[in-house]
Amino acid sequence: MKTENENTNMKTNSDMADSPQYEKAAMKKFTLRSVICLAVGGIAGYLFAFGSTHLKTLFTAFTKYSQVYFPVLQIYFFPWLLLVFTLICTMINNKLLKKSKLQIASWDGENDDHINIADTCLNKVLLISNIESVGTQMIFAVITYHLMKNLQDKSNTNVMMIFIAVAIYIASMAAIILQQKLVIQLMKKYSPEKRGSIYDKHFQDVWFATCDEGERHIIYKSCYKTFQFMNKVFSVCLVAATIIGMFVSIGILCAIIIGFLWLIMTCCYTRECIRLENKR
Amino acid sequence: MPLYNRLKEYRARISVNQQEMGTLVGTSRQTISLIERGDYSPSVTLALKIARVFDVPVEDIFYYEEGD
Repeated sequence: MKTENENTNMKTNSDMADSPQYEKAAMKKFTLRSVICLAVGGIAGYLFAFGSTHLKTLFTAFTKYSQVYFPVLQIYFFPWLLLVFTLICTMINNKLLKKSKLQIASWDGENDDHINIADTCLNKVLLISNIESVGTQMIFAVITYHLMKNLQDKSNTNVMMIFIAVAIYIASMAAIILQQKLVIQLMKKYSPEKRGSIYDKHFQDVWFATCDEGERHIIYKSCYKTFQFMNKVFSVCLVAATIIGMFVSIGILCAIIIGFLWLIMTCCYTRECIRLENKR
Repeated sequence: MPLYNRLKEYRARISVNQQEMGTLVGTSRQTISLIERGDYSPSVTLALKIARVFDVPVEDIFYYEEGD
């Protein structure tokens, strides 16, 4: 069984982690990794410095062309991209919702397979609608970049396209809320103990309160995995923002925001750990 | 130490499905499913509640084998 194997592996790893040999071996690997990273960083830095003139020319050309073409794409391409993105996500979600409705209707109360398939479909709907939500916000942020300047140009086409983009954005948000509402409704069919309305601002707290120990176990494991993964993502993004900032005028806001978010996440997690420890 | 269980077997004896089992012990169908698949080890409280439903000792339903 998966859990037993995981438990065995964890036990073996934690047993090993107690030994001085393990500590020594881990330190050796860490030292080797650090030396390799320093060497790679040094060589990359030298190459960057050596090729900086060429890179600068390349980025200057990129900046020049993007300054010319970006406003055109912003007004004439991204609104339609937003529409296509919304339609694709909505179509996929509709298909998944239909499939899960069929599975729930076929459920006889005993055979787990139908409910497992329905559960998987509904989780995929939630994943896609979350991607849709964030993606929509990002595309809208691109469309509304320098909005005041675009409106002041007083081009009727500009104004019309911006209004179209706003309408598509609102429609997309409405579609996301509707999809999530349907997911909750379907989940309540095979988990009648679940409570909460999608329109309630405390929905997440209310829903979590109805989760039992098994469901909370899944939530806790997922959250910790996310925390571990995000630590790596933030570190890579911060380094990337720092290096890109050496060649392209992206300003320091990018690196500061990434660092700030990383800091908030780390402090939140550590503070909660301390609070829970002290509760004992 | 891996934890095994005979929950499905005991459940079949009294002809209750996972949903009904969950209702009897105050937990969800999903948790009962996770326990039966071995993907989750229940808390002591839940294990005791499950054993009480079948009127058997906890060790009859949940057991482990040392040295696995």
